[in-house]
Amino acid sequence: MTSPSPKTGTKTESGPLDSLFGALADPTRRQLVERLLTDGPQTTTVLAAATPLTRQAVLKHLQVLEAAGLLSHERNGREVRYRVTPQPLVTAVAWILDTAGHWDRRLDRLRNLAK
Amino acid sequence: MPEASDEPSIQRTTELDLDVEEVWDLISTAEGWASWLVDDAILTIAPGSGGVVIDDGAERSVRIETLVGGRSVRFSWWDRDDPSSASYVELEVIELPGNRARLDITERFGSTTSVSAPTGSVSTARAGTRWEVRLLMLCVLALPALVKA
Repeated sequence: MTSPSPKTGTKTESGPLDSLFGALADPTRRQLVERLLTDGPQTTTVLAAATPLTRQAVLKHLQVLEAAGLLSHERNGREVRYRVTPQPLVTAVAWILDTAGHWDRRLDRLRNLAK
Repeated sequence: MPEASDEPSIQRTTELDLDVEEVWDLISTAEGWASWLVDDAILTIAPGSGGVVIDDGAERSVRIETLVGGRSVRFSWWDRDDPSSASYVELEVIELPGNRARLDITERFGSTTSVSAPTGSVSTARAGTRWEVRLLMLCVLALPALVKA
C-alpha cells in the first residue's frame, strides 16, 4: 500500500501500519500467520506442504510478511525458520479499534437524534 | 474458496426510527453532518465539491466523490496537512418497512481504493470478516508469544 491512510483519528505512524494491513489483506498470508502462531516457528518447506502453493510462492508471501514487520527468521545451518513478531499486531488492533470507536460514537449521536 | 484480497475497512450499520428522507437530510447536508458525523462542517455536498470539517477537534478536508439522490453519499477525507492520509467513506440509506430506515457506513483505507469505484461496496465489504475481528483473532493467537516477550 502506498497510501498511508490508516492514521485517521490516531497519532500512529502510518507507514508501518500500511505495510501491515497490505500484507494481511491477502487471505493466504493471513493463513500463514495463523499457522505460525498456532504451530510455532516453521520452515518454508513445512508451511508449503500444508498449502496448495509451491515453496517459492510461500517464500514470497513470507517475505512480504517479514517486510511488514510481522515475521522474523532465524537460520540454523541450511534451515530457515520463520516466526511471528506479535507487537505490530497489537499496534494494528489498537489503531482499528480506535478508528472503529470514532464511528461508534458518531452512531451514538445519530441514534440520540432519532429518539 | 478463499476470500478475495481486500483492504482494511470499518463497517457499521444501524436501524433508525426515522424515514428515508429524514436520514437523507442527515447525510446530505452540512447541517446534518454537524449534528452527528463531525463537530462542525463547512462544505457543499455535491459531486466534485467539498470543504472542511472539524472531526474530534481536528480539521479535515473533504471531497464529495459521488452522490445518489436519496440513497448514498460517497466522500474522501483526510487530515488537513496530510492528503496522503485520505480514506473513503460511503453512507447509504436503505428504506425499511414501517417508515424506518437503515444506514450502512463503510470507511475504506488503502491505496487501491478508487474514487471511481462503483457503489455497492458496503454489501461487498460486509461479505468478508470484519477487520476488527480478523485482527483480534490473530492477537488472541499471539497472546502466548506476547506474554513470553
